[in-house]
Amino acid sequence: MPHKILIVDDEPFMLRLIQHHLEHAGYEMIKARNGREAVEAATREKPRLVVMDAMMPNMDGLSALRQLKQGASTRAIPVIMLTANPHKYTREEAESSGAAIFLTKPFSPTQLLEEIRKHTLDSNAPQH
Amino acid sequence: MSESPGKSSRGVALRLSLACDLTEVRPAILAVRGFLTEQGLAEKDLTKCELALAEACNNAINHAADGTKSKAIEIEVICNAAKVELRVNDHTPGFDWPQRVQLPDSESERGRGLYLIQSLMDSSVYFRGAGENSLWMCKNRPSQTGSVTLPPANLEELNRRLAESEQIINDMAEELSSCYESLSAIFRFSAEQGKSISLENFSRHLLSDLLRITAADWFVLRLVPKEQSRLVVFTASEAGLVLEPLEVPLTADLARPVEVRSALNRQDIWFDQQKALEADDPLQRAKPDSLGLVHPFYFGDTLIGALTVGKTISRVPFSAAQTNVVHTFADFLAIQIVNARFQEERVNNLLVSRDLQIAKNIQRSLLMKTVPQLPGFGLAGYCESARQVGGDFYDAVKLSDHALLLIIADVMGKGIPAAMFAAILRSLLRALPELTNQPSELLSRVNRLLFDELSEVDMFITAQLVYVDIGKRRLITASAGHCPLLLAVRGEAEVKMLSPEGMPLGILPDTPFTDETAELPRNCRVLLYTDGLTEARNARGELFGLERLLEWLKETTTRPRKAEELKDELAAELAKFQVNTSLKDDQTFLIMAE
Amino acid sequence: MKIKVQILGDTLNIEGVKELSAANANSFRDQVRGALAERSKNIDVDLSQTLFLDSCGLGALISLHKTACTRNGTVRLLNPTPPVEQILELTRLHRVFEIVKK
Repeated sequence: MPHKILIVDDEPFMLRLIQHHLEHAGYEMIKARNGREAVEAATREKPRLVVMDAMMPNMDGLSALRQLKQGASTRAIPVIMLTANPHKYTREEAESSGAAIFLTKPFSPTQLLEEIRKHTLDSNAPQH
Repeated sequence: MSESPGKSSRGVALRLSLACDLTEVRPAILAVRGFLTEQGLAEKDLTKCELALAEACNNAINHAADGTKSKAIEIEVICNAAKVELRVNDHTPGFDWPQRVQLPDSESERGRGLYLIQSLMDSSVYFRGAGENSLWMCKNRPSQTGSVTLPPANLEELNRRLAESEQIINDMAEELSSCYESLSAIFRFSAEQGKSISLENFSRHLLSDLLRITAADWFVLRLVPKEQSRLVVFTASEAGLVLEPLEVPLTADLARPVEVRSALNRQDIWFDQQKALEADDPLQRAKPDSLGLVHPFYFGDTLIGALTVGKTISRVPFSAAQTNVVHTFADFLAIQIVNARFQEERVNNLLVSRDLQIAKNIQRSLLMKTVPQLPGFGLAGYCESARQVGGDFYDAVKLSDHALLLIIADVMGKGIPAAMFAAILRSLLRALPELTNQPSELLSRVNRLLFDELSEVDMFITAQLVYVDIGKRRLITASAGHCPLLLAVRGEAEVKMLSPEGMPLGILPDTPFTDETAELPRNCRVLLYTDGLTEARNARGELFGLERLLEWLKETTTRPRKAEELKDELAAELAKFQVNTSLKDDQTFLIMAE
Repeated sequence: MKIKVQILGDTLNIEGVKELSAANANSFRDQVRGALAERSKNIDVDLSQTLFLDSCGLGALISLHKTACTRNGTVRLLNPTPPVEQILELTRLHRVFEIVKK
């Protein structure tokens, strides 16, 4: 059973780009366009991992992250945060709010897949 | 109704005015239609503009209050290649353009005008003023050169187009990913560059990352060393790939190894099962059953090197996106290599000039600070060092009230080593006072002491020592291959040149030196110098030469001058001779005058 | 505008409508209403020569449609020209009137 990954980004082309890689790697995907949708989708679908853009309108990434970490059913889901501006949030600030890891854009797609694989290690991980 | 066509920078215009009367609308619209037909507007756009304009005029007239019925309505039509603008200006009280324009229900006989205007035109804006209103409508014309998307014929066509779009999006996603991959690597490695220990480590790290990203198995990076025409392996993913250097000939030749061919043709070369490498290609021997890519990279026109990336033949060949990443990495690496070489050169230059500075400082420190004087005799020294050198020096050691040792030496060689030997020689000469009245012995001893060091660095020293005894009015001199001592006496026709036998120091360990003695008559002049003087050239390339020096010295005996003044005179002579040229060698001299 | 009105059984037939705009919509409507006989319940309007029809013209046709409805009849629009079809479709009235093309 392939892992379900929730991707969150307000830019449709970004979702498409990440989808491109996740599909090739054999993951199943759920998409959300903003923080609010992200929390709803995570609670409903219980994805194995979340990849989320840090800066989005209508509840930005960090707030959504905090909400996810507070929710009983979502707090254990690892979250990979993507940010275009590494200076806005310090790494410590971000990682202390519960993100598994921070990646700066432009990010290396290979590295993203590596991190996803690392954080979803269990017998169900797809081989690629 | 009155009409006036015109042309403005916005396009061709038609202006007409009509009375505030519904019966005048249709003729006005027809006139506009005629105008737009002339402008080449398509039929369907004509009917749309016609209807929209009619509705606008109807509206204006219907909203006129009784008192304003007499004020005319103006229509302005502006037409250019991109669009048609229709404007209706009226002087009625106007109306409120509703937030949302909707169709009334089908029973309603009125209220469709605004909806029609919005549907027919691409944009519509209503400006309501005090007693004056303007409704602007705009219809874009189809562009002549742009692609026209035809409505799909049927579902099949739609599906086909959808599939095509999906494919395009896929390809774009691939391309974008490879750019992201490269960019993120460049940022990563640029940061690392500053901290990097060696170019080799940096390259290896960068290229290992490349293997990971492009799912490749091995790489070989060859670089062209400075001023050579060979491709030498700089680093590779495994020891077995550190192959022999390859010569890069001037012309491409089919039999050459693939790395050389790609460098000469300035083109990537792919190799795989179909396009196999030659059997004797070093890569084929080292990595048989591989597929891969050779990419030469340049800085401007200069070949910097060639990168080969390969994987075992069973794997998927490189995609376009992966090839992009290989190119980007190689080109990025090329820049780092060129930068590193520039840096090295700069540092070397800095070191060399620093060396020279130190040498000069040493040399300056050797020169005597206070000039020892003997009763009745003056002494002056001069040392002008050229850019590259640092080995000349002169010295004068006071031995007693009536005796001096004069020294002039030229260390053959450059930079710090020359300056250091000069310093050592000076110290040695001063440290052996018992031999000072036997200059040949002194030279012999010093030669033996310095021989090993001098021969090790292939250096030698010419020197002349002069023991001056005022009391006995004589001098004893010995020379180690140096320019002759010049002794000029008033009244004597010839200047005496004293050049005792002796080879330069550092040539042979046990070379003999001889002493030569000369009387010191009244008002004599003694000059010790280095060959920088006689070998000085002027702007025309002529040598200063010994003759000229002798002439000058003889001439000075006719006038009573102090040593200091004579020094200045000779310095001036040299300067005058060498005007407009740069100093090639050190120029040193020591002059003694009574 | 000179229109030609004919009575064929229970249908009133109108031809020669060159245009139907704000200027003549009301007079057209009145003229047609005036021509209705006792037993006329349907109205056929030939629009094959109608080069222009605006929203006021539509209003007149709707008014006639209401009239026909009160007589349990219908309004049919015959062979509308492209401009007429365009405005009928835009205003979604092409479902309200019966459109007949030959």
